[in-house]
Amino acid sequence: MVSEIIYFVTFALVGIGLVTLVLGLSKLLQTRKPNEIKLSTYESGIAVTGDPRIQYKMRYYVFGLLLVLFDVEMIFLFPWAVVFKSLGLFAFVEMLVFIAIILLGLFYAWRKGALKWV
Amino acid sequence: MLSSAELLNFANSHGIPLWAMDAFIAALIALGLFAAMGLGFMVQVYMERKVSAGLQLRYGPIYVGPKGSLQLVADALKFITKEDVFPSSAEPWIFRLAPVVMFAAAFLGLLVLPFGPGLVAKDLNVGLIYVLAIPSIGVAGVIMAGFGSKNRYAILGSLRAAAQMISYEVPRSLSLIGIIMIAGTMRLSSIVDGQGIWYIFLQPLGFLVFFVATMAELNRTPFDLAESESEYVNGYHTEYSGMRFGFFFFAEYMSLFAAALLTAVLFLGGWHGPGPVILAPVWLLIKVFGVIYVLMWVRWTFPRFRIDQVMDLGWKVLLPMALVNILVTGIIMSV
Amino acid sequence: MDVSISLVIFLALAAMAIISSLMVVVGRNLFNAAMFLGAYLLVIAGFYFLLSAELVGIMQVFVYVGGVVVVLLFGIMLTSQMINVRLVSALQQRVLTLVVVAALVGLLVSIFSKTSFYYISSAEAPRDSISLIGKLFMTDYVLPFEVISVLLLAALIGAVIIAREEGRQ
Repeated sequence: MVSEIIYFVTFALVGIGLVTLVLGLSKLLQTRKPNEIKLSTYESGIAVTGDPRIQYKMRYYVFGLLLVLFDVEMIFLFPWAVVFKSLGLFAFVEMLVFIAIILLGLFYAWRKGALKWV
Repeated sequence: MLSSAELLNFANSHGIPLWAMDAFIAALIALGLFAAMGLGFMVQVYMERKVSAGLQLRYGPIYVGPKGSLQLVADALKFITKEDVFPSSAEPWIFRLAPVVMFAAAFLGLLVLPFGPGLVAKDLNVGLIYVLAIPSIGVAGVIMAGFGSKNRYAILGSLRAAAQMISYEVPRSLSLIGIIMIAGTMRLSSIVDGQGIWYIFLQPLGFLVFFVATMAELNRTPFDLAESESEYVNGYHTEYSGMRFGFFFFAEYMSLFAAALLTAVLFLGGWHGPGPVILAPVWLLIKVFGVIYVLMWVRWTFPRFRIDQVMDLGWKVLLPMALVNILVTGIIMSV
Repeated sequence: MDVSISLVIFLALAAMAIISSLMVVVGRNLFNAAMFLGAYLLVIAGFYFLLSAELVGIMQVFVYVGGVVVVLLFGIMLTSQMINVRLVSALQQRVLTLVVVAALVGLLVSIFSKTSFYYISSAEAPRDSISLIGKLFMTDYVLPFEVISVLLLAALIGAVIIAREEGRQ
């Protein structure tokens, strides 16, 4: 696995290095004429009032939680799927029970309106 | 491509440590991929402009070069020489890092993608999860872009984009379980080798879910809520200009290419095709650009969904469909 | 691959893990702390890869970097005024932290000195850990496996209740 780590790190370094290089090149080539209005936050030409970081919809957070839950479920599905062929019916039933319990949760969330975007 | 035994011999006879050899080869592959993706970026943008023009009965670019083909070179030069406006209220480091994170996430995803038999940087045995997991780091990049810009449109756009991307990650990953069940492996090259019959015919429902979810992951119309011009100006990259925007753009088309390649590898038989083995990468590229063409066709044909429709489609339609696909695959394989 | 390069990689990963986790707790800005947490979790995935546990490593990226960090970022961005909060700690808090940390370090050092470490060569790692994990879930560990689904169900219901609280306001 050492080789994999070396490849990953090298890829990351080359990628980030090239981005930095091109951005640096662009910095050398471009003409910069900043002024106050150009540097201000773009709000379709209207003067910005207040902090844009107000409280947004909580709904996003719920979908984030759902994602984590299903991600955890998938952790178990992937290795199961790899060995599915050699395991037979019993393992299939076990997985059906597992998925059914999760689906119960999804169904609950659905009925209680957590999946509704309001 | 050199075999690993030859490399081992070479390294041993010259006293080069193996890790240095690995790093050197990885750097060469990465540079090659970067160049190829740069070229692919230009080809895809040209293609997108011509396809969209064709579908809307326009000409598209015609003036620069034959049939406007040098328009992309002009565009690239424009990106590099254009002033890169740095908003005074932005969080400097987060604003700077966001395009780098986006780009790096998309670029690192290419590490395990095969371009032909043996033509792969690192054929991981968890390749399939890798191509799903690594690009998802890009979601953090999207949120960074929105947060760092301190702009209302950017924040709203980044939240929507992130919510949409994480919502479709679930059905997208689940739709591939069926393929893993049939192939019995998560190594991408082995999945291609196992496709005597293309998996699109064995997994039609899985393909449908995967394809729709892929469109949503890529933030392309009809799922382009992240940068819906008529609502949010330009979404999370509203404040970006010049080459910084260029890298968002580059990462987007790199993801498009990677997604098309993944679709071809998983469902369309990868590099299988008639003719000698030397034609394998050609077949793969033909399939990849076929998929890209379909994605563009869809993009320029359908109007945009509303956010509630997007969320409903993801959680209430595609997710149950992906689970049904697993069930059906399991029953058929058990019987 | 010889032992020395894996040792170098281990030390590099350990250094990165320590630096990024320090940045999480020392930083005064919540958003930056979350970013460094993401970096830290990525480094931990590197450790798993070093130990030839590629499935666990990639799952670490899948769930933690792609999921938990995003939820954290959502949480920070969606809580009003949370971003502008400058974290400051009072004197009592610092003293208390020092005591707890000192006790924890003492505990760890005492455990380390009592443990007899032995080396496992990488050749002993199972060749196909994914299939092995899949098989074990379905045979020896089937009860914990099913219990996990109940745990996930409880978490899902909790998430829904949070969403309903928000809807009532």
